[in-house]
Amino acid sequence: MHPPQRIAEDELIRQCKAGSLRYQELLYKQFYGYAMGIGLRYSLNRDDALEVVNDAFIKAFNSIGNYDITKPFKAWLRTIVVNTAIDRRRKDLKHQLNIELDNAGPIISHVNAMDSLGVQDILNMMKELPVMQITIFNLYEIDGYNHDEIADMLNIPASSSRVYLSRAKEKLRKLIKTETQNHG
Amino acid sequence: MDDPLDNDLRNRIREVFDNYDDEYADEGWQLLREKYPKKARRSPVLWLWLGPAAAILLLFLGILLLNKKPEKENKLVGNKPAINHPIVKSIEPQKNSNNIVDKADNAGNTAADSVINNLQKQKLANNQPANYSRNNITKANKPSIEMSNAIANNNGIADKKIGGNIQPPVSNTEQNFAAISPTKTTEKQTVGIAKIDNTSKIDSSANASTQSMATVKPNNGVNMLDESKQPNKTVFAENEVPKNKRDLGYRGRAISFGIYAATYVNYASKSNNQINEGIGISSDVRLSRKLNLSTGIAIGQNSLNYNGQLPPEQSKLLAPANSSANSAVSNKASALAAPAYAANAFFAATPSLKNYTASLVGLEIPINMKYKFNPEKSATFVSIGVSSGTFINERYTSTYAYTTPFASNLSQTTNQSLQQKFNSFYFAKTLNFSFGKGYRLSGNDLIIEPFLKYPIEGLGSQQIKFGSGGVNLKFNFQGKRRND
Repeated sequence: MHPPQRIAEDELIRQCKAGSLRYQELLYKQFYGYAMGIGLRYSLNRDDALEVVNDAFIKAFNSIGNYDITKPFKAWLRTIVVNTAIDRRRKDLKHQLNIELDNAGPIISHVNAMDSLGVQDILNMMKELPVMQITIFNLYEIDGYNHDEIADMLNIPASSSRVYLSRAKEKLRKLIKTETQNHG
Repeated sequence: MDDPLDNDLRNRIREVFDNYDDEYADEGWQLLREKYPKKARRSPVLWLWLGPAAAILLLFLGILLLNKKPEKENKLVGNKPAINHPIVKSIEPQKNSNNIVDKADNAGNTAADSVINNLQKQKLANNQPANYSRNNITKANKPSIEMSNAIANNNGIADKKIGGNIQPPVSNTEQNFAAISPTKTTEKQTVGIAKIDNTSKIDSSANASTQSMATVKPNNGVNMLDESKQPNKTVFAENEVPKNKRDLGYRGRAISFGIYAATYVNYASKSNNQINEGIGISSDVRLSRKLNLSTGIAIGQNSLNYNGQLPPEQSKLLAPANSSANSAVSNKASALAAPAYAANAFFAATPSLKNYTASLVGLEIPINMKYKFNPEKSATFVSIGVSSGTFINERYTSTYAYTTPFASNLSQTTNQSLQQKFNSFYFAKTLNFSFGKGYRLSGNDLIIEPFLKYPIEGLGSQQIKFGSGGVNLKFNFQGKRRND
């Protein structure tokens, strides 16, 4: 949902830099959906995602004075949201390092074709993957980080990142194919 | 992702989540507002400091500015040409290893000469014949000029100007004085000063008494000066204030001033603790290197709150007050508590004490001994002493509820107040303990000083025994350091 009256991004950011709470609210509402989309991919449930998003916005508001207005705001916000999500899940990620990857969960339903995948379908699918795998999948495939960056972020070797990514993709393929066959 | 399926999935995920939206942005914002922006939760204590601290700061800045003017005038006088300020007409030097001789024929000597000539002059005195002015004193008995050991050891110089045209050497920022005084009574004793510039030689932490004093000791019966012109005269330059007493030791001031704001809790038996605040000025008089006498004046609010009861002091007073109201105190106390004790006189309404509060604005004069642990390095100290003072305003309020015996649900409250101003002066009725930790700020000290004031006797017209404990935030002005 967007605010009824969209305000130019530059103006929003300029006012936010000036500390206007009103414009911060407008900025929040304007980019809420975008941030939630990122948060959901990493948190896999709405409540956690909302916390991630709000924490990320608070960080953004606090550091917006340092934001270079010549660069895309979305990219800047995305970085903050991703980092916030990773920070929140860091404990889970450590726990997941030693989990065996082969135990696939129940197959998702309602997947008939790729184009018909909705948010909830994708989230359900992602939930079938271990946290580490889906996190690395998101970081690498969706958000564009390379393995070295991921290794730094998650404090794991880059080679492990590659392995986790590979397993995540393999698992997703299986999930999609299976469901497509079942419902196709 | 090389697999087309992978590409499709990736693109689909991006598409779905990049365009994700839901209807809960408003709720999300409300949740965010619970944490952002952080409410400016200033510590209540800090908040209480700000007003009084600012007021005191302004007050003292004004005082400092006023005090600075005379100092400047003095300095200007000190820099005037020497012709107008002869110090010593002449002193005959003696060829003695301790003697210091200066040429008297160089009437145009300036203050800088004393700096330049420093130690060399002392040595020259041993080898070079002195030039005497025409006003030289009798040569039969020669005065000796002795330097303190500290100065000699530090190669400091007492540059003594001799002759009618001699200018007292002045160091613009730091000065030491060498007093020339006779060791025994002579017909005319003359005390002069010889100025020493020791900016680079003398350790400021050395014993001040040996560091800065040089004494000229004329022998018995020596008339050192032209008596007609310099009879029994102290030879400080006119209008120049002797500074040797106040310019000694650490931080350069024998007396320092400070301002402070206090936040504290009043405590008393059966009273709820009340947070209050006060402001004050303080002065520290240095008694020794580590010991200071600290005094000042402070104004502070004190409040006590007794729920449904009188202070113990009044309760004691009221018992005899019913039979004989002799003392003024008991009269006042009984006046406040009268409704409660007059209850029997009213059958229609029975008053009961609901609350009793005391609010006293005190003017306090503390006298404390302050022991500094390491005055050269920090302003950490402990302090103990007593406080005297008076109360500018005292207000005691009793709140009574009246209920009728036949209609207990009908009640009415009334307040009775007793107010007095400057009722009495109390002397040393409060014990003070404090510990201070100082932090250097631009040459001055910011001191955080937790304190406890313990009542020895009752205070105020109602003789309530109350104390206080809290923290002083103190700013001590050290002024410019003077080493000489």
